[in-house]
Amino acid sequence: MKLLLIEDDPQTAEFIIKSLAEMGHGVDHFADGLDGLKACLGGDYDLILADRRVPSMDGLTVVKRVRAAGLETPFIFLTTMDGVDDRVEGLDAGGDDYLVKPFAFSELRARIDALARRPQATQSHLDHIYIDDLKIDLIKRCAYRAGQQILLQPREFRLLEYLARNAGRVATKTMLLEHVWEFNFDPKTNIIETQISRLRSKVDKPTGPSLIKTVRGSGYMIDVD
Amino acid sequence: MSIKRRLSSTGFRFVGLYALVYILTTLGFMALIFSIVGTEIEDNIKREIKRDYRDLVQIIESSPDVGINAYFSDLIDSTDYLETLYILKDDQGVIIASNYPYDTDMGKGWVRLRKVNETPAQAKNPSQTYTFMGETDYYGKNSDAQAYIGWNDRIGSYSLFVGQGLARIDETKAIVSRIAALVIPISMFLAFLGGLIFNRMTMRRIEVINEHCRSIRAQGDLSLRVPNTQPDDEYGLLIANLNAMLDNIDKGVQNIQAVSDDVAHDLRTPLGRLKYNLEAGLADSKATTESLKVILEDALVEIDNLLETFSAILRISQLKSKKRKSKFQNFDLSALVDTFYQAYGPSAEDAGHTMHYEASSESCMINGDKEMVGQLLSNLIENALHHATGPNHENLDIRLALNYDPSSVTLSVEDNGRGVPKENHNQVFNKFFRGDYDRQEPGNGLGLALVKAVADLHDAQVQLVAVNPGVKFLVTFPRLTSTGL
Repeated sequence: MKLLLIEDDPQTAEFIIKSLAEMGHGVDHFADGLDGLKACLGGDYDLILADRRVPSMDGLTVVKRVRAAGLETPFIFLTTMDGVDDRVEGLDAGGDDYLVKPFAFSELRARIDALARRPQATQSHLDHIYIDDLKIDLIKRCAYRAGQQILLQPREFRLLEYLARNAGRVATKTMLLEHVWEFNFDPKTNIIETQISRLRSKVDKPTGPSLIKTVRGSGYMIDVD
Repeated sequence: MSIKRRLSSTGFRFVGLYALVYILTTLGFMALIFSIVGTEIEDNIKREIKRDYRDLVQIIESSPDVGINAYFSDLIDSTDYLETLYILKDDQGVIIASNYPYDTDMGKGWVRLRKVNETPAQAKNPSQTYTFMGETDYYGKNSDAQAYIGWNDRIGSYSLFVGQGLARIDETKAIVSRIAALVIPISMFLAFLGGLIFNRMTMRRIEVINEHCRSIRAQGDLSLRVPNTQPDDEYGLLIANLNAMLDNIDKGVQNIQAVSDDVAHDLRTPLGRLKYNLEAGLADSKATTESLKVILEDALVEIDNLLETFSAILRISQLKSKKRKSKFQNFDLSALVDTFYQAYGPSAEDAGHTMHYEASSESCMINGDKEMVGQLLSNLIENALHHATGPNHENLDIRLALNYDPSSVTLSVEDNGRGVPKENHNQVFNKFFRGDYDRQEPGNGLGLALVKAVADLHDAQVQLVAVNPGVKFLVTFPRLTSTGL
């Protein structure tokens, strides 16, 4: 993928570029907001990463201009501004995701993956999702494994749905908290671990092959072996 | 205050406008009096003429012709000709008796006679207006304004005109004008004086406000307030608003001060610890890769804690500045509590605790920041989960409940843990307060301070109640009435 990074701190930029290169992505880097915007509008990028506070034009204005120009390129904010209002502001302006610095690289990677293939993932008109012998009925909001219905709490269903819509990609703890519970803070309690383990015991245990996988140090993922 | 400033002041403009309106009103009023006086007196005169006329008709009809002639001669002799005019003619139109020196041809009905320098041909209505041609001074004085009105009719073989001078109208109007000329200037002067006094009074109060604002600005002392001697009028309200605004600004500045103090004191200690550990690692000549890795891992944990503390300090200060009120919306508190119960319940169970919440079917709308109330709930639950447990509290029981009142709803989070010593009850909501027990456990002492800050933002009361064993936290939110939805 071809990525654009707008970040004025050289060390942070270097770290991100190096890590993205290891993932096999090409990165164009600009330390200045206006230069970054020109590049966004001129180049054909798959994804844009931008700091909110950069010289000559702030990230918020950049995303507004990009959207005003009719570009749908996925846009992730990487920022130290971590107030809830700041996040809402960023998403309202047209950003697709908001990552607060300092972040774990695994978090950034998961979010890039989730956004890069989003058109397919967010197909809202899907009626069913099939993963191996797991069938999820999105209309009736129930799930079947090997033809047997799995009894799920509403929140467990949402968790399974989110993982299934992003099948094959890692969902981090923070992503699950944000999308399934709409919690925008980090609980000190192992909420996600417990809920995943309960979901796993319902979805995986009766039949054998485990679909819900733990990705060490990153998060969780539904995938067929 | 300089003359120029006084002239351009609102008060002065007010006085000017007031005087202008006053003059215009008075002039309009005078014009109205003039026109009413004119028509009223003319109506009176007409009634008098008619009465007079009726009497004369009776006399004419009941007297012999010769007698009539003599009667009118006497009548005319005894009449002040400036007041009343009589013209009696026979059926040929020949004047029998008259105190009007000219022979005029008049129709039946009301007739006006005026002495003006115009010919009958120039008169607008020749049948109604009779003029004395060239004779401007018949009565021995300038009678330009002398005008008469009279009734003319035929009585048997006679034709009689009875008229009266309209001079009374002009005289009355002149009196009214004289009174007006005397009264208007006096009342205008009084009005102006009143305006000036009013102006001075209001200006003095505004000056007080300005003076205080100036000194607050000059000295930078945000604790100064404008004295409010009459709190109930508009100026009093303005001063109250100003003072309330100063309170807010003062609070905000103190809040910023508190944040910098917090950052200075409570982040420096762990930073120092971090520095010490890293230096010790570097200086250790016998350090192995393994031992250095341990030091680095410890450092990472320390940094994570620091970042968390830092976010919490900022969040509390953001809440205290009340900036977040813009995010207020109406939401169902019972649904929110249920979400958190569902989220934390399984984790609590897995840790060997129990958690209870009896969801009510009744929805409970409050106005607030849903996300922040969520944070409050999570902090209270986590406080119970992580701080209420002692060595003997493997199976803790946490109870969430909502108690409804007509005007408020109370969220209670109760545990049967080790409780909080009585002497600490007032301190638990303070920033960085940590009980003796807590010091051995991770935490930054900001969880309950955040709870308090969120509650304050919502005008909610937070209470800590000791139960045996354990503690109960009560947060009482004002409830939306059904009309508020």
